[in-house]
Amino acid sequence: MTALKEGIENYLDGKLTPDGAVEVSNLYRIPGGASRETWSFDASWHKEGAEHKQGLILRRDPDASLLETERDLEFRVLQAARAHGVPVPEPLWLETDGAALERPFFIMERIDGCESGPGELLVQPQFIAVRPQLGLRFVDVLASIHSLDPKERGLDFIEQPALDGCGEFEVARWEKILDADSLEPQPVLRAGIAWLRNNPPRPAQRISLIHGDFRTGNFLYNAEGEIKAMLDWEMAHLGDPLEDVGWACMRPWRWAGDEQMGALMPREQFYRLYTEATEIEIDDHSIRFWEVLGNLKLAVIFITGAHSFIEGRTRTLQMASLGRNINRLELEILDLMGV
Amino acid sequence: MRPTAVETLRGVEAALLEVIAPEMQSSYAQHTLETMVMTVESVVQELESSAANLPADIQTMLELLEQLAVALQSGPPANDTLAAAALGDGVLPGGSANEIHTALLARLEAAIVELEKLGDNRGEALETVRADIYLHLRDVTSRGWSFWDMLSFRASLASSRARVAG
Repeated sequence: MTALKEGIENYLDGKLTPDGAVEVSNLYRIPGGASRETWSFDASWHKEGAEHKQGLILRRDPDASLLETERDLEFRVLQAARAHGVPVPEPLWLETDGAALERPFFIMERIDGCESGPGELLVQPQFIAVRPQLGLRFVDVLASIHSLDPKERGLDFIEQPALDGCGEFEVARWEKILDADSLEPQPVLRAGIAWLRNNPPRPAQRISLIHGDFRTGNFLYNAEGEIKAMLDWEMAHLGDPLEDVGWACMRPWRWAGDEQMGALMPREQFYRLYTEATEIEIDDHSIRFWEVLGNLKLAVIFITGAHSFIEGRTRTLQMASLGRNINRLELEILDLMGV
Repeated sequence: MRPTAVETLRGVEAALLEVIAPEMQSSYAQHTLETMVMTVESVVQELESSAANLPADIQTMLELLEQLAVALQSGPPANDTLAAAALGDGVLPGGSANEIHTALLARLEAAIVELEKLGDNRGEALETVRADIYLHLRDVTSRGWSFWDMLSFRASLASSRARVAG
């Protein structure tokens, strides 16, 4: 960790050009974030006679990942979302090579005084009390993301599917990764892919920026019922906004073990509020498609991590652990297929 | 008599939770330890049942593929992929039990994908085979232990296990 601390200090010396040197303290790794290493630290420096101190987050590529994603895409999407008014941490610096800290990374502001875990939301009285407000805010944030014009915000470099091709676009994306990373037959996932192709969603009503992992557990919230930031944008892409709606509803995120969307509100209420905010109609058939796709996508992500672990490219236990949990996602796919 | 693998791993779980966990300082280390305990539990559950499941699954898959072969003879739409899955190359796969299992699973995968592609054109006999293959896959996916079983999958897992048990 000393080498990382010194590496960050040297890097920030070049970015902040202080009087003297930048000092990094309280450096620690934040749990989770299997697609990126996430580190929190405080940076302090003096410049032009004034003392500065800022809490920062380092998002660094891991030795092997659940998913190979482009950190420059994540960085640019964060910039666009912030410019649009979506609550996200301010992205500060991006490095696409490993010259400074061995692997590519970016640094963003740290937002203090918040929680992100679904566990706290379920059991701590101060958060239970504000769950209804958080649910409303959750819808507002999603609607805001889906109202962003990709071209206006400089995201038109991202490949864009046709309105009637969003479903197949995503099926092909994840099938390709499954083909590359699966080490054994996957009858449920392959049958799920065939089912998806036989049951395409209705054409998208618009092409939107899709967060790609919009769910309870991926936002920073406080006891005032505010969502201060939406996190984990590494799977952002362009597509059908109902993809995010379906993902948010998926069983893995129904942490309370009931049928409520993300332990926040009944699904019907979520649909109604979302449609009121976006004028995008929701139909059960399309949501079912996106939920099957979502569970498939999550299973493929776990398979990718397990593949890295089995081949010895990483010794991170989380990769093995998640790889051993694919069967529940398969069970959900079977239930959604109605078989 | 020495402790079994499962009994030993239960001891590992207890040591992690009762001795190591209280000493953990960083949240990242605590999270990793939680992952360790959950992974060990997952392995324990598998160890307790894998010896019985492997030959049983091989037998079930052989029966399902035989059922498919019979169904194909009863006159549903001709389909080379389905026939190849049902019959293989005409001989039973050889090798270790794990290798046989993987070979049969690949044939079952080819069969169920093709049955899905047929959509509403399966006919009654193939529809029955499809339902039986899915029941077996449901049984397999309902096994073991996952961290989700305590939370989001609690009810659906119980429902699925009841359905498999008939």
